[in-house]
Amino acid sequence: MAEILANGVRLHVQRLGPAPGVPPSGKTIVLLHGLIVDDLSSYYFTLANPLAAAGHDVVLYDLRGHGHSERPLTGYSLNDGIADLDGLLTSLEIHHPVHLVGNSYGGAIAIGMAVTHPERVADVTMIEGHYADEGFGEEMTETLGLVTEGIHDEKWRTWLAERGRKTMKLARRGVSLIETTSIERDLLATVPHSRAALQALQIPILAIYGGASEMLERARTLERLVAGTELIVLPDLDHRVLFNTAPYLCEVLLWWYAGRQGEPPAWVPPEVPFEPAPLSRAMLPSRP
Amino acid sequence: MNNNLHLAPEAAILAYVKRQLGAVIGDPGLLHTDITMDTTFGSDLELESIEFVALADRLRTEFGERVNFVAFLAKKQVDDMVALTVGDVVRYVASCLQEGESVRELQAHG
Repeated sequence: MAEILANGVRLHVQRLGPAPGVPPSGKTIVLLHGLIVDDLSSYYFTLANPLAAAGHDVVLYDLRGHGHSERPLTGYSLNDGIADLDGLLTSLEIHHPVHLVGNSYGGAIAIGMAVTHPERVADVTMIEGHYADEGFGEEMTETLGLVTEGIHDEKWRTWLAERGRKTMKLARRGVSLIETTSIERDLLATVPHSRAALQALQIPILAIYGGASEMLERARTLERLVAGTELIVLPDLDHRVLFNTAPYLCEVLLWWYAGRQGEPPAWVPPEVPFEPAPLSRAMLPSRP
Repeated sequence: MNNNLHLAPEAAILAYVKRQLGAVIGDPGLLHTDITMDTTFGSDLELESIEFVALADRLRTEFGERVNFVAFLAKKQVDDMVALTVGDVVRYVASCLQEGESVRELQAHG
C-alpha cells in the first residue's frame, strides 16, 4: 500500500500512471472523494482506471480519517483538507497545475484549493460537489447528525443490512469518525468563501449534478458566479450521480480532458429508474 | 517476493493471491479456508472495496508492468465488481504472464 506523509498525516495514495503502451496525456488528475462513508475505492471502481487507461496520470487518496489513511483526532476543517492536498502534491513532487475532480464533499476541497492555491489547479470537475458557501458548515454538521441518527434508524439499518456486512462495517467506521474526532466541530467552523473570491476564479469548471438533487441550486449559483462553468444537469438523478452514471461520467471527463470539442456527450436515461435514496440529504447511502 | 512466479501456472498464482488476501483482510487463517477459483470477492468473501484496492496494489507491486490491472479494471463496471471471482483475477494474471513470456521468447530467438 502506498503511504505518503503529507502535511504531517499518513495518507493512503494510489497513483495509476498511464497504462503501459498508452501515450501519456501529460495531465495529472486528482480525485477527491466524499465525506464519512466514502474512500478512494469509489473512484477506483468507476473513473480512475478508465482515465488512466486513456493516458492520464491519476492520483487518488483517502482523506484523513477515511479508508486506509491515518485517523488523527483533530484537523478535519476544510482548510486542513486543502493543506493535506497541497502537502500531498508536494510530497509527490507534482508541481504542474492539476485537474481536480470532487465528488460531494470532495468538491469543497477542489474549489477551496482553486481559491487558495490557484497556481496548483488547471480545472475543477464537480460531481454533485459542495463548496464553502454560506451555511456550508451548518449543512455539513446536519448531515453528520443524520449519519449518526441514521445508524440507529430502522429504515436505514434495513437498507444497510440488505447490502451486506461490509456496508454496515463501512457505516460503523463512519460513525466512529464522527464520534471520536473533531470533524463535526471543525466543519461547523468553516469560514465561507466570499462571493468575490468565487467570482475571481479563472479556471474552467465542469459541474455535473442530478436534476432531482438538493445540490442543484448550489450548482446554479456556482454557474452564475464563475464565468467558466459548464453545468450538465442529469434529469431525475439524486445525489448519487457518481455511482449511478459512472460510464457516462467517464465519457464526459474524457471529452473534457481531450479539449471539449463540440457538445458534451449526451446523457441517455436508463429504462429502469434509479432506486431512491432512503435519506435524501445524506451523502451516506451513496455507494453501490 | 517470489521470483519464480512469472513461470507459475494458475495453481501457484491462486496460492499467491490467497496469501495476499489473508494479509489484506488481516487473517492469515484465510489460507486454510476453502477459497477456489469460483469464490467471489463480493458475496463470498465480503471483501470491502478498499480491501480489493489494497489487494490489487499488492499484485501490482509483485508483477509490475507485466500485469496491466488498469486495463483489466477499466473494462469493468461497478456491478461487475460485485460478481468478480478470485479465478477472474488469477486467470487474468496468468494470461498476462504467458503473453509476456512468449514475447520474451520471441525476442530471444531473434
